[in-house]
Amino acid sequence: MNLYIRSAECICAQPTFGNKLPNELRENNDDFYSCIQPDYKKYISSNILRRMSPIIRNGVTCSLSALTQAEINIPDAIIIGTALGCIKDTTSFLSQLINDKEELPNPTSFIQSTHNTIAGQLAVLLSCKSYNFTFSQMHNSFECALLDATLLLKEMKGKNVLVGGVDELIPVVFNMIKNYDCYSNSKLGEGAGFFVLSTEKSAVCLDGVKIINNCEVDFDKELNHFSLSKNDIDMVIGGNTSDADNSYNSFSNYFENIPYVWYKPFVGEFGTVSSIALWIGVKAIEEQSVPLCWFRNGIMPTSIRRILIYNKKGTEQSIMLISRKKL
Amino acid sequence: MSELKEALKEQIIQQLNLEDFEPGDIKDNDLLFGNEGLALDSIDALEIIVLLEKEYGIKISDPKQGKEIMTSIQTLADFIESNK
Repeated sequence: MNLYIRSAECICAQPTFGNKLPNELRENNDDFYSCIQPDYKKYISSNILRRMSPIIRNGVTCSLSALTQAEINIPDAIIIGTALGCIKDTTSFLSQLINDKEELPNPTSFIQSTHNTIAGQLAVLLSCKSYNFTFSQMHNSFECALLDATLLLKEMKGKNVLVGGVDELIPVVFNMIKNYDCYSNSKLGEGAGFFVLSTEKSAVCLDGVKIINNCEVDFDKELNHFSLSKNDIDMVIGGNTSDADNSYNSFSNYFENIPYVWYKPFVGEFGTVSSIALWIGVKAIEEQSVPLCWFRNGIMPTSIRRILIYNKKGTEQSIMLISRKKL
Repeated sequence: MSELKEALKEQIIQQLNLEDFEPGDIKDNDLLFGNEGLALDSIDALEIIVLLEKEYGIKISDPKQGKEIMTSIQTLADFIESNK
């Protein structure tokens, strides 16, 4: 059974929301990449918006836009991946507990601090009483959500699933993790990528998603897993954070002569950043072009029929494959 | 008293993140809850109870009193004044 990506939406440090792939990339001189905020009030009423932290605002707005694009009022499931969840409300709540000697914590930050707040808020806003799940598996959180969505659709438990990845970065977390070995050579960031995955045909097909829990990856073997070879790939999207990021050497060597798009130098590194990569891939197939500024190796594709997206952080690795389908 | 009411308005706007309101937008006798006035809800009521205890050291000991105390900025200020 083929699964299709009917719509895609993205909020990140680049002007992606409601747009095509930007032709110019915004420079950022801050310590980390913050999201460009869309006009949330177009999607969420002021009375509800006032209680939402940035991650909830971004997750909900991105989701509602993706659903609108797909012309779906209520999805058959809401499945979200988030590495750190509603960390702003969590730190706010914990700080209050410490500062007030475990007395008088404010209710809002407590209520909104759980990882599944975004999926829960969406369920309430949409009156969606269907399957509602949130995955938190650090750098594979989005891939877990996407895998669950594919399984659900293949089991014929729905036709349209809202699936996405979202994370926020706040100064207290930035200061805690910026010196971690795994984030050396990385500028940290935040963002959201949401999709309507469907059994109904559209221009972009999700050929597969695979989580790989090994130190090394045999790309011949992984492509073979999807009955593909290197020649079937028109473009790759790699998760290098910078030119100094050596963890992608085997990947970039393997796909040496294939158009290579990168994105983390422009949006930052975070747990569910692969959802941004998938958005880029979907847009590339829909538009059949990618602005030059996104290419790492300067090789441009002649046509974009199939894209491989590879993400790696330590031993947490994943491959996503998408392809063009004629309507 | 008027200083107290102005402080309450600012604290409520900040604590409840009422982004669309300025202190001058809230009249002393505007309803805080219900369909009119600020149209606050039950979570806001909890936030105001926490605010009263944190900022003024006052507890609402009888929950039945809550509705009356939190009718408006004026009733909140009256309650704080009489329990100082």
